[in-house]
Amino acid sequence: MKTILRGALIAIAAIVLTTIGGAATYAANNTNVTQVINGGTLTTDIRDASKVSVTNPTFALSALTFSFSCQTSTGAIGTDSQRLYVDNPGSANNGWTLTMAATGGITDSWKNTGVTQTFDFNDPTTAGCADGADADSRPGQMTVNPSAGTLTADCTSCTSTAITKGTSSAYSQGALDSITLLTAASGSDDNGRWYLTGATVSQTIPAEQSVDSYTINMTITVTAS
Amino acid sequence: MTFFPKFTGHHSHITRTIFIIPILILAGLILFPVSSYAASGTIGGRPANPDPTNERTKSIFVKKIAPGTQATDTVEVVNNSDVTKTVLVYGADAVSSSGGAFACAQAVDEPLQVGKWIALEKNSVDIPAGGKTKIPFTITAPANAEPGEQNGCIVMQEKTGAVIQNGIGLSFRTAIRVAILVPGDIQKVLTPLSITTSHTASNVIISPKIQNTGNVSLDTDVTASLRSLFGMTIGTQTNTYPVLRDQITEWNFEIAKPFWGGFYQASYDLSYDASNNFIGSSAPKEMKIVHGQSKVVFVIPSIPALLLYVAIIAAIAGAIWKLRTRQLHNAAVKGWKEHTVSLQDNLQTIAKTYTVNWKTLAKENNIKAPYVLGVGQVIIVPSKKQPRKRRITRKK
Repeated sequence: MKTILRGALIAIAAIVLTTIGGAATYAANNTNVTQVINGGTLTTDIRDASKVSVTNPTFALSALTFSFSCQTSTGAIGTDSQRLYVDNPGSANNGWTLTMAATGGITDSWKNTGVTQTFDFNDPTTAGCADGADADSRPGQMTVNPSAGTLTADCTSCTSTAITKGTSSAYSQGALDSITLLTAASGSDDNGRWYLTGATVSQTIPAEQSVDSYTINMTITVTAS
Repeated sequence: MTFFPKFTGHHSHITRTIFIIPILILAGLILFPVSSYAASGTIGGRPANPDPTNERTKSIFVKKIAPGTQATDTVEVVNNSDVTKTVLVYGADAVSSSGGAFACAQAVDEPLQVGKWIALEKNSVDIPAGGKTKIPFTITAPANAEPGEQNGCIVMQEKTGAVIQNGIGLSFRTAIRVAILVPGDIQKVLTPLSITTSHTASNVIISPKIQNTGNVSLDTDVTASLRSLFGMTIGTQTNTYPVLRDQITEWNFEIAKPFWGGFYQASYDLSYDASNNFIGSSAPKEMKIVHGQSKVVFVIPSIPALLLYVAIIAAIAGAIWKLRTRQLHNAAVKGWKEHTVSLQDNLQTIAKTYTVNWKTLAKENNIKAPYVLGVGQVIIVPSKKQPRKRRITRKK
């Protein structure tokens, strides 16, 4: 029993020495302890509900059945398990923007594996149901509505004041190649962390589009402005 | 003498546990912040040498470059993750995103303007976990650069592309605006274009649209207001946004719906520094105010207000109905005369005599069931008697 007690006492002493000992030493020497906290960097990524960064996040749109008519597939960017985060740890002091554009540029498209079948994301002709306005010969148009989503401030001392969600917009080659998800004015918190969920996405699928799985890569950019 | 206890006998296992648990807790406390940092953010960056006299240079690059000359600076690239990453760093042209927001061209887009003027010492760097590196760069304004502000970006992006299965795969990058002023004839002009309104369940959304018709960007205070038709302010919101040159810009201001609903006036005002100061200058400003358009908007009352309205309308309608009934009654009984009940009278005989419903007669004289009249009782009856023979009724 004595051994148990001795072991416990030594363990407690170890904790006390480790946690308090250092501070006591500074006090004895009358040293001024200074602590500098530097600002971090403005970043964006997708994290799960535990705030762990998600590798290769993908958002699927609703599956459709082959149709002889033009149809629309819908989905959302930002879910509870894949939250679109923006961190501004004192980096952007006059606001920032969060925008989304096709990684492959304005001539990008939805592709199947092997790139044998494609359809467009930025052809506005008859709301994406017909080919026309742009240089390629693929119909299809993607619309993003950030204002349908929910913006949440995820820190104890920050708010969503002066951060606005973008309005519903459709990609249109050469006319609208980037869609604004969020805009933070200069009055927004300079130290804050926020996430967006439920920004809706709809994509017009051309009539008689071949049965297959299609993908497109979009790049989300956070810019100090 | 040894610091650590000696674990002997059958208590040794328990003793060892008691000793180890606090140590593990301590280790956890020490390691926990490291785990938190590792989970936070990916690749970021910032200006390495901000100008202490210009606060804006802490987050963006601000340069004045004459045509044909060069400026230098350095960008600090940070790897916030817990693994070594290869980071692409490149110059890109500024592009306009929806609503006129500032955005940067993609890596695949060939730079044609400021993106082309930027030359970084390295375009790809390996940065260890939690590490950072500085990359010097130059910006060379061509000899034919137009006076005014030109914008571009320095972009940082992890090299590995997204692996996508089915749907929209996402990649991420961080960009820093590069604002360059080419000296010359500087024009600062904002033109209000329109105002639109919409609603959410709880807010009125006021969306001003303006155009920067000058040749420099303007940090603009935009104030959206919702007022009653008599001018009383219901809600107002002011934000400051950079409005880029040549751009049409639109924002959404959300103001809480007035409880009572009704007609209101939505409007907006703009305010910006009209002096020759450039971004972030601490020199005195010459603020110019521009009044935007206004619009009358109808706001649906809140549910409690709606219920109150219904209750008030019902009460008023009830009062009017009662008043009207009273008026009709008064008009109806106006001119009635008194009748003294005789031995032969009862309610029905009197009613027939005066051509009136016996129930009306009872009601006007407040006679309740069993409708008994006393001889000599005085009641009121219509003034005109029906010219018919009176029947003798039974004696009461």
